[in-house]
Formats: sequence, structure tokens, C-alpha cells
Amino acid sequence: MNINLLLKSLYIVHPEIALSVSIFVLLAAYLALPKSKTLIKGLALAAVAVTAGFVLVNYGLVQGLVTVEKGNPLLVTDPFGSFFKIAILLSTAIIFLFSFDSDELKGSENIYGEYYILILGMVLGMMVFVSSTDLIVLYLSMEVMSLLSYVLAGYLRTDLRSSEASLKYLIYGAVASGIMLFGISLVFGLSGSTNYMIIGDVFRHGLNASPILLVASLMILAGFTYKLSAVPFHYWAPDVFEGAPVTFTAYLSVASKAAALAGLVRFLYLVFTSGTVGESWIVSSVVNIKSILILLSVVTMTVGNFSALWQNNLKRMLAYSGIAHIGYMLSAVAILGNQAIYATLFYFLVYMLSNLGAFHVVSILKNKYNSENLSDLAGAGYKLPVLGATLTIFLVSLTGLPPTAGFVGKLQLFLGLFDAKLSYLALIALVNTVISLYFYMKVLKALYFDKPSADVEVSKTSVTENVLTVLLATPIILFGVFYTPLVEFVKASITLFK
Amino acid sequence: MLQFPLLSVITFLPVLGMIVVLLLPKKADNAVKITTLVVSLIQLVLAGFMWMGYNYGAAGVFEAKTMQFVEKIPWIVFNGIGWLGTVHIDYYVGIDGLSAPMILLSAIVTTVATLSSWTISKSVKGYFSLFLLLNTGMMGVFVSLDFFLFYIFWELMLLPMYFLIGIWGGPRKEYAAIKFFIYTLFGSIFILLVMIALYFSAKDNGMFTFNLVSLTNFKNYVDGGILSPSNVNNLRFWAALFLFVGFAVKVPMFPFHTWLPDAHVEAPTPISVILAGVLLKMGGYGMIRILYPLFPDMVHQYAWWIGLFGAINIVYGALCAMAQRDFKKLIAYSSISHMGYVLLGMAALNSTGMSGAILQMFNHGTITAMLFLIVGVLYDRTHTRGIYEFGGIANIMPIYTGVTILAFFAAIGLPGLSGFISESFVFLGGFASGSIRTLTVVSLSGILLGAAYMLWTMQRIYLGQPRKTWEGLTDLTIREYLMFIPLAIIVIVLGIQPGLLLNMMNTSVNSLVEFMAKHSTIITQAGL
Repeated sequence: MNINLLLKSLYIVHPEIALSVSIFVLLAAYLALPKSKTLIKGLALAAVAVTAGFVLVNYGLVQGLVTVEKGNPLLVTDPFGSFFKIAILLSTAIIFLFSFDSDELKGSENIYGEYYILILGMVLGMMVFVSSTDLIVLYLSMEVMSLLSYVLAGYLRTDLRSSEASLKYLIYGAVASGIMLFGISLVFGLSGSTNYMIIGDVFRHGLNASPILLVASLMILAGFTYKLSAVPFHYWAPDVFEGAPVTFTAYLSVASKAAALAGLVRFLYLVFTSGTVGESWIVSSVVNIKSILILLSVVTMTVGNFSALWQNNLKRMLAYSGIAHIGYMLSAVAILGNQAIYATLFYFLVYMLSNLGAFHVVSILKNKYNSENLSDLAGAGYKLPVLGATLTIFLVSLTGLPPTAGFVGKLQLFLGLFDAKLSYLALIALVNTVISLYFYMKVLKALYFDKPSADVEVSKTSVTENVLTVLLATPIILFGVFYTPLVEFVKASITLFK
Repeated sequence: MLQFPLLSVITFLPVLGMIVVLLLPKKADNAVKITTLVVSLIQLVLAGFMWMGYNYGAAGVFEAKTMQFVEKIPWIVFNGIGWLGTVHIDYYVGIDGLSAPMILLSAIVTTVATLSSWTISKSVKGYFSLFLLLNTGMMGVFVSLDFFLFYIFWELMLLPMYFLIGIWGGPRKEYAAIKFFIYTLFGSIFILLVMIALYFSAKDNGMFTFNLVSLTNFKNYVDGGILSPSNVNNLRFWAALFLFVGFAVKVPMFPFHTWLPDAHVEAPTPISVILAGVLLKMGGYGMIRILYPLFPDMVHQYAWWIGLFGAINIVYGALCAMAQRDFKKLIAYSSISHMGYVLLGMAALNSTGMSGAILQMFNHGTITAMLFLIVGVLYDRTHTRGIYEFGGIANIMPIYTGVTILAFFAAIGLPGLSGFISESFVFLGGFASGSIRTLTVVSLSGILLGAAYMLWTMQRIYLGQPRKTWEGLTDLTIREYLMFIPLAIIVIVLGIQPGLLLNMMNTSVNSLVEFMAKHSTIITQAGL
């Protein structure tokens, strides 16, 4: 490989390099001054900020897909990838802010900096995952983020549930990634390469009638559905979400889903579409990706919503609700095409904001009540008025009612479905929305309608907590009423698909 | 042209009031109540200005240039991706003869409900903020001329209502609140589906549109659009059915009515007043504003079915009312019965019937508001609503009983009171329209049944020997007088001089009826 070309295209991985360097700086600082928490906090946020800066530079510089060389790259950069990196980094920064106040994490005094270092390592894995166009890189980066998240799920060492969550996550993860790896090896056998571009070319030129292709693509999809926590690989989500520290649960519910969604769309787009025009699925006698995705989407949203109906633990409920939301997004992925990808990205961003907000409120409630069970939170809306009001906004947005951003997200999705002549899918999604209303409102019922069982003394929320929740709630309402800026941002991010 | 944005002020003033209320200190209960009252009084005055400035000759409905008090500002505009083209959604509000009476009604009912809310003592700030938010949603629905805007306001009402029933309601409030929410949201998703389908059907200035006025012009529909009249498939039928069901849940129409008795019984009195007085009207209004002008062919074909459900509502509601032992539930079922007249009048498809339907919405709003207030007055004093627990109240509270008699007779349809006019218009229209004549005859029994349950209730609660338990109940207070007097005046004045409102809606109703007749057959693009 030409070294000059390599140096010239080094900017593609600038964000990743910056992040790696930052992690080492943080590590060194922690080793040198383990007691200085403010320093660790500051450095952790700075790492995110610097990386985000590089991502933004790339976002501004690059139009369309850019590769290391014309040919078969391992990593690429494009606005689509940058969009998800921004989403990941934004949620990381917000999660760090949550974590600073978390009582749960304070329990493990003697291990402080590790938390931030591990999360930043996960971010590195996710960013590479988003950019990868090679199955081996994809697999390796997935393992990086998975391994670190197993550790983080079990971060509360003294809490049995946390350890259980970690173990369950590990076992499910090992099985899923094993299946995926097997699928990758089959694809390699069929096409002779692990590179998306080459595999795509081979499939487009007729080598797509082998029944093994069906097996292989289902196996690779299994890996993605596991990361997305979509049916049938969703079983880990409720248990892990319940056991892991709530800040990390929030992180899992948005960041790792962002990475998985980006990876899935990129993989499907480069491998299973007709290429240059890039708007339609490859025609194959054995694999019908579209039908598979539609089926996955319907089952995922329905299972997610129905399971959420019976939950009493807020984190479990939000885990199932997250599964349902992935179902909605998959319905748009099934269409592919610009409009659908635009709708997916739009929906994801809205979901991310609403979900982070909801989890933030849950984490403060956990601090105050030391419980996430609805039955223990009776009457909390009166004792903590700001939290109650903002949680209402977040949940209404997750349900998808106006005037919140959640409604706009759903509307974009349904517009896309209608345009693709999949109005029956829109109807199913709408009925699911009505079902989901019940459990979201169950939370509000506990907060406002139920009488507190005993006199629980609850301290008032601090100013920082209030400000942060209100800051998170503001865009939900703002984008619900006036969403043009969000549209422009998302629109600029789908240039890959033009 | 720069003019005072009357409709926007009417709509968004409550939001401003809500912000003020939220900023007030926690203990300032009276300040909160007074702020809310001031907001609703200003709304009332503005609605009065609207009435005075209203041009009786302008039709509106499907003509953009004869809409009144119009404000049209680009709201969401962006160049789309791929097929989406340029997205252009306007903030488009305006009124015509169909919506103007509803705005008057909302302003009046809200003011009365505010007065009735004075007794609320539990988290006053929360109650009145939600109340004001609800108010914005109601006004917004009536002024919107853009489907997107309409839908946002339509949904905006659900959440405040859920909390108002769920927090300040009676013993089974949680059940009633979630039932209300799920039923109405279920209706809404049907409306949303049709809204999206319509968006892909018509273009205004080369752009897909949510504009309700443009959507009534069938020349705007594109070839091959999902709901274009030129399509030979039956999607227009399904869309019309979905819209009908979506609005019917709110009416509420049999068999989607079961949320109503629960919601009414559990809701606090002022919320029942709003629910019966304004919210139920939205179903009927939505049909007249959206279903009728957008799907005239389907409405013409299936008007008999609308009439049938109207007749079922009238008879079934009345029979259920007769069987009730709870005063408030009885009034709730009588509401269902009375909303049946609205459906029947609309099914007539002639000016008399349609005017009757709109007038009936207005009259039902005022009369039922009175009836719920009457229940509330009794409940406040005795904390029970069992019909059989009372007797001889007339001797203890004579003035209150006088008001009750007025409201009861208005509800029965006694000549000289407003209910009579609208009901007779509905029946006249029904007879004049050949297709629903039989249904009208059946529905006439509703009058008889109505008299039966009302008079029987009168006898059980107000007449007879006064019971020992209820001796010493105080008669109406000044605040209660203030609630009843305006409503009573309206009921009497509209009974004697219905022209006050009929003139207002006349031009619009006539042109809607003409429009419906003109487009009654399957429209083809060539035929226009």
C-alpha cells in the first residue's frame, strides 16, 4: 500500500486516534492522582469533547462515502457514520453528567476512574463499528464494545443483581457473537472475501441463489439483533437493564443501539442492495431481506410492548419499551431508500433524547427512593414536581403523542411506510402505539394517582439535577413544535444513500 | 395586511395563563383561580368581538377566501429528500359558520367550568395549569384549518384530561382515566392514518399538503394518489370509514361509547362540564369539518348508516339512562342519547338537518353543562348521587329546583327552550330527506323516553316528602348563581330567538350542503 495515500487518508480515523490518546491520558492521570475526582471528571468530558470536535470536522469536510483508497477499505467515513458518532458521543457526555451525581456508583469508592475509562473504551469500539466495511473489523469492534459492556454491567460488585446481569449478558453475548462469526465464515466461503464491497459485487453478479446464503445472512443478522436487542435475541435486555447500574443501563439503551443500527444499515446497504442506484434490495431467490426485516420489526415491536405491560420495575419496563422502539425503526430499515433511512435516523435521534431523559429521571428517583419499582414510587410526582413533569414529557414523547418530538419521529416513520406502500405496517405500528400508551401511563399513574404507602422522607432535587432534566426536556417540546432544524441535520447525514 | 391575530390570541392565551400560574407561589391558591378566571373572561370577550366582527354572508367551508379571521404563516418548511419534495405546513387558522358557534360555546362553557372549579382544593396549581392547557387544545381544534395543526391540538387535549380525571376524580378514577385515554387514542390513530394517506393524495402549488381547504378541491388530487377520486379501488371507502370511526369515538357513538359514563361519573364536576359541553362536540365537528367536505361521495352513499347509528344512540342512550340509579350516570347516558340527534341531523344531508345538528351541539353543550352542574351542586352538599337516596329536595332548595326544572325541560325539548328548536330541526331535516325517514320516526321515540327518564328523575329526587337526612341543605350560593344564570339565559334566548346562531351558520351550512350534493356521485377528474 502506498504510504502517501495512507497518510493522506489518515484523517478518516482522526476521531478514533484522538479518543485513544485521550483514554491513555485519562488512564495516566488516574494512576498518578487517583484521589482527584474532579480531574478525572474533567478529563473524561474533555476526551468526549475532543473526539466530537474531530468528528464534526470530518462531518463538515466529507460529502459522500470516503474510503482509504479506491477499492476495498476496512474503514470509511461519511456523514452517515459521523451522525451516529455524534449521537454516541452526545449520549456519552450526557451519561457522564448523570454519573457524576449517581449514588449507586459512589458505593464503589475505591474504583472510580475505571468507570469512565471503560466507557470511553466502549465508545472507541462503537465508533470503529460504525465505520467498518469489513466483517472482520466489524466483528472485532463488536467484541471490544461487548467485552467492556459485560464488565460495566457488573460494575456494582457488591450487588448480586449486577453480577447476575453481567454473567447473563456475557453468556447471551458469547452465543450471539459465535453465531455471527459462523455466519461470517460462511459468507467468506461463498464470496472469498470479508469486505462488504467485494461481497456485494459477488452477490450482485448472480452468486446469490445458494441456500447457504440464507443461513449465513440470518446468522449475521442474529449478531445485529442481539446488539439491537431485537427479537429473537432480546432476552438479555430486561435482566441486564434491571441489574446494571442505572446510568449504564441508560447508556446501553441508546449508545450501543446507535452503533448496532448504523452497522446494520451499512452492512445491508453495501451487501444486499443493487449497488449504484442503491435504492432497492438485491433480487435473490433464496434471501428476501425485506420480508425478514418486516417480520422482525412486527414481532419485535409487538413482543416489546406486550411484555412491557406487566412490568413493575421501571428499568425493565424501559428495556422492553426500547425493544419496541427498535421494532419501529426496523420497519423503516426494511424499506431502505433515502426516505426510510432519513426516517430511521430521525426516529433514533428523538428516541435517544427521550430515553436518556427518562433514564435520568429514573436514576434520580433511584437515588431518592433507592428503588425503581412503581409501587415504591407512589406519589413521587408531588414530592418532586420537576421530575414528575419532565418524566411526563419524556414518556409522552416515547408514546409518540403531539406536541412532542416523539410524535414527529413517528410521523416521519409512517410517512415513509405509506410511501413504500406498507400502510398495513403503519397500522400495526399505530396499534402498538396504543398498547404502549398503557404502560407509559402506568408510570404516571404511580407518580400522580397512587397514594404513598408510608411516609417516605425524600430530599428535594438539587438545582443541577433540575437544570439537567429541564435541559433534556426542552428539545423534546421544541422539536415537537418546530422540527425543521432536526430535519436539516438528518437530511445532511444521509448522503451515503444518494 | 396586518390585523389583530384574534384567533391565535384566543387559542394561546391559556398557555400564557398557564405559565403565569406555574410561576405563582405555591400557597397562592386564590391568585391561581383568579388568573384562570381572568383568562377565560378575556377569551369570552374576544369571542364576543369575533361574533360582532363576523360576516354572516361569507361561506367558508371549501373556499379559502371567504374564511374569516384567517392567519396563515409558513410553519414547517424544508426541502425534502427523495420523493418528499418540498414539505410545507402552514400555521393556518380561520373560522366559518361551522366553527364560529363552537368557539362561542367553548368560551362560555370554559368560563362556567372555571367558576365551578372554585371548590377544588387539592394541588390547585396543577389543576388549573392542566385546565388551561386543555382550554388551548379545545380552541385550537376549532380554529385549525390545517389537518396537521388540527391533529396536534386534538391530541393535546388527551393528556390534561387524563390527569384531570385521574387525579381529581372519584373512587374509580384510575380506571376511568386510562379508559378514556386508550379509547380516544385508539380513535385518533385512525384519524392519523387517514391524515397521512390524504397527504399523499393532493398537491397544492405542486406540494403535498395538509391544508383542509385545498383538500376539498378535487382538482388538487394527483393521479394515482392514495385517496384520489380517480382511483377505482375502494380505499376512499376505508379512509372515510376510518375517519368516521375516529370521530365517532369522541361523539361518542354506540358501540364506542362505553368510556363516557365511566369518565363522567369519576370526573370532578367542572371536568364533566367541559367533557360534555365541549369535548363531545369535537366528534361531530370533526365529521362536519373533515369527513363531509373531503369524502362527499362516501358520505352520500352511506348517510343512512350514519343515521342508523344516530337512531341507535338516541334510543339506546335513553333506555340506558332510564335504568340508572346514579344521577350523574343518568346524565351521562342522556348525553349519549342527545348526541344521537347530532348524528341523525347530519345524516339528513340537507340544510335543515345540518343546521339542526350544529345547533344541537351548541344546545347540548349549554344544557348538559347545566345538568352536570346541577348534579355537582347536590353532590357538593350531600356527597352522594344515588337517585333513590333523595326526595323532596324541592322543599329544601326551591331556587335550585327551579333551575333544575328549567334545565330538565330544556333537555326534554319543551317548546320555548333551546333544545326544542334543534331537535325539531333535526327531525324536520330527517323527514325531508327521503332515505332516513324511517329512522327519524324511530328516533322520535327518543323524545318520549327522554321525557320519561327526566320526569321520573324529577319525581324521585325533587318531589315528594323531604327526607330528614337532607334537612338544612343550603340553597344556591352567589358563585353558583353566576354559573347558572348565563347558561339559563342562553337556553331561554335561543329558545325564543334561535336566529342568533342559525344566521351565523346559515351561509356555511347551505354551501356545504350544495357542495355535498354537487359531489355526491363518484368524482372523476375529467368530470370536474
